[in-house]
Amino acid sequence: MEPARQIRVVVGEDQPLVREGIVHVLQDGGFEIVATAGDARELVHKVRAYHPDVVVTDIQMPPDRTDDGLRAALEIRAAQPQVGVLVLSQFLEDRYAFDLVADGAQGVGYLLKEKVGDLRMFTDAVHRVATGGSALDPDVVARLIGRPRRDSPLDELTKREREVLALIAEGRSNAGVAEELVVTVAAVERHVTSIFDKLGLRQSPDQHRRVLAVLTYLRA
Amino acid sequence: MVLVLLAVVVAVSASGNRAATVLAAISAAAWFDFFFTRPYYRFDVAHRADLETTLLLLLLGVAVTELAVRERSRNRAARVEGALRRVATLVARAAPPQAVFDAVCEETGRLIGATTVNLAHFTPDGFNLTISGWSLRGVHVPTGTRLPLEGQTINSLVQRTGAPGRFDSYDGTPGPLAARLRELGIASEVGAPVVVNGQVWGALIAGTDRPKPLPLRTELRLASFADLIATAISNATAQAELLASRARIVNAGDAARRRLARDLHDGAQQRLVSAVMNLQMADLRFDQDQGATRRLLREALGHARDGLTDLRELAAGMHPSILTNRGLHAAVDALARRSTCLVEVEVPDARYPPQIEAAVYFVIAEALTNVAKHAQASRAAVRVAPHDGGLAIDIEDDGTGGADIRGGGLLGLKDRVEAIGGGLKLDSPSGHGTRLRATLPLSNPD
Repeated sequence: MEPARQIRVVVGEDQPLVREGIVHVLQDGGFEIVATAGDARELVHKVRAYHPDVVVTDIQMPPDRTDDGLRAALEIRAAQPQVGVLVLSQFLEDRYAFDLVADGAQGVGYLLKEKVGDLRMFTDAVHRVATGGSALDPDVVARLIGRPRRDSPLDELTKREREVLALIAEGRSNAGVAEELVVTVAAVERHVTSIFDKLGLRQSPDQHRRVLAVLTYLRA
Repeated sequence: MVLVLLAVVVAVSASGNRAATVLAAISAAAWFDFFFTRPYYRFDVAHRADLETTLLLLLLGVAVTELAVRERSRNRAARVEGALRRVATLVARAAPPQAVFDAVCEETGRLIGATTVNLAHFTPDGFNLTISGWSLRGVHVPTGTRLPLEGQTINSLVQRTGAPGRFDSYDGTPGPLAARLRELGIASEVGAPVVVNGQVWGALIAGTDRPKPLPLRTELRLASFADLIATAISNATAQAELLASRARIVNAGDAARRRLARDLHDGAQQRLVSAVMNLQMADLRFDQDQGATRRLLREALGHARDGLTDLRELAAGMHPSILTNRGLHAAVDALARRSTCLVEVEVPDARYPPQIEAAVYFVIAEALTNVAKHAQASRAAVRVAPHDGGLAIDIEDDGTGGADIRGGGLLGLKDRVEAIGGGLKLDSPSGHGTRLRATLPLSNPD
């Protein structure tokens, strides 16, 4: 088997120490860093020049230091839909994540910045987003699922089903869920069918539609 | 002799009493007739000079009288003006209220020729509290006297009607206040209300120990001074409230900084210290014990991660980024999602000036925190809508009610809202849910 082509990454991060850390971690994880940028404009510019597989960017960057990174990510997605964008954020807010998936969950990710310190989770997320999947921070998903609702079908889910639902919302495939929960893929499929029945959602073989359906449901 | 008669007429007319002047002039003319015109030493009017003299004396008398009357009324007006100006200056200089009250009592007393003047405050629990007093002979109801506001007195009359009035006699009048007045020898009284913020706060009362009541104009004079007192009181009250709210805002800022320092110290700092210690130990054992080194490294990693989480939560609590980046609607939505009970949100998508957005956000955040902590509500509703050129924020819940605006969090909110020119109202009857309404102007009050 031919060795997999290295995934090409552009990193946007204004703080040099953190930028070096991210570059280091990703290189260690087998990614190729093709460029780095210290502000949102430079990031957009370099992505246009280098055509990476994925952009990993801090949400808060110069020039405005508000959500420049997120806006740059949306701009990149609009111009180059084949480029994945993973936004690192210090904000546990689902709103930003929903801004990202507004036109599709394909190749987008929203991860709390501290998760960069969890190498496996971080590199897994970069990989998923680079290959057209999605990666939503588990804490954001947990808050989304846990918020108060009145007479919600969510209450009818078993504990295991809630775990599966959370992992689907995070953007995991059935295989990914199976691996995480240490069960068989067939077991995961049964859970997924049951969950979709209880929530009244139509099952879709398409992974992205499935994520979007679940997120839309959780957001409502 | 002629000069003596003239002097008598002028002297009498200078008193300003017209009847007395006419009398003096005629009698002087008679005496002139008696002594100086033939037939001498008789009151026969036989000489033309008698009539001329009478006429001249009358004219002279009347002229001098008019001058005297005019001069006196000008004097009186000047004295009233002087007294009002002295008191008004005190008020404008924001002198201590007690100094204003004492000055008013004395100035009014001297001006209207009263024996005593008192300033009374009608307390909400139905008492008459003497705030200040003055008397010509040092006999008046002393400051601090607290008597039930009952019986027939000028005090209860003014309190009831909210208008100036008088009481011409306290003979046989029932009630403790009337008894006290009789003791002091007060025969009759006149009073005017002190109206502060539309409420009858108290009355300015003038009394006399003479049998003849104070003249009819006295009420109006009193009313002018009572108005000055009202201004002084509302100024002082506003000033005191402003100072108190400023002090609370400063204290709240200090407390927030102390809390932040403590949170940093107890949270992130402790975790980072632990991480550093573990890393040091790992470094020392690196060559001898691989298993221990790995365990220490993992512990250090755990501590460092926890430290990061602490820092993120701390920063998020200080200022929500979503408010700056996405505006009120998104930020309030996020708050509602985090709430323990179901929250309906109705907030415009518009963006407002940062200090307005922050104020609205923190009002809603504090209100929802209160709902979660105290109300045991199953649902709440948050509505922000244009109102009167500004914004109205309504937060309602179906919980237990009984909230108190003086409770720590709400008072802080009130200060915050008032600092930018808004207001806060709470309606929280026990057992019937809580409604909090904040109104904020959109234009800066400065």
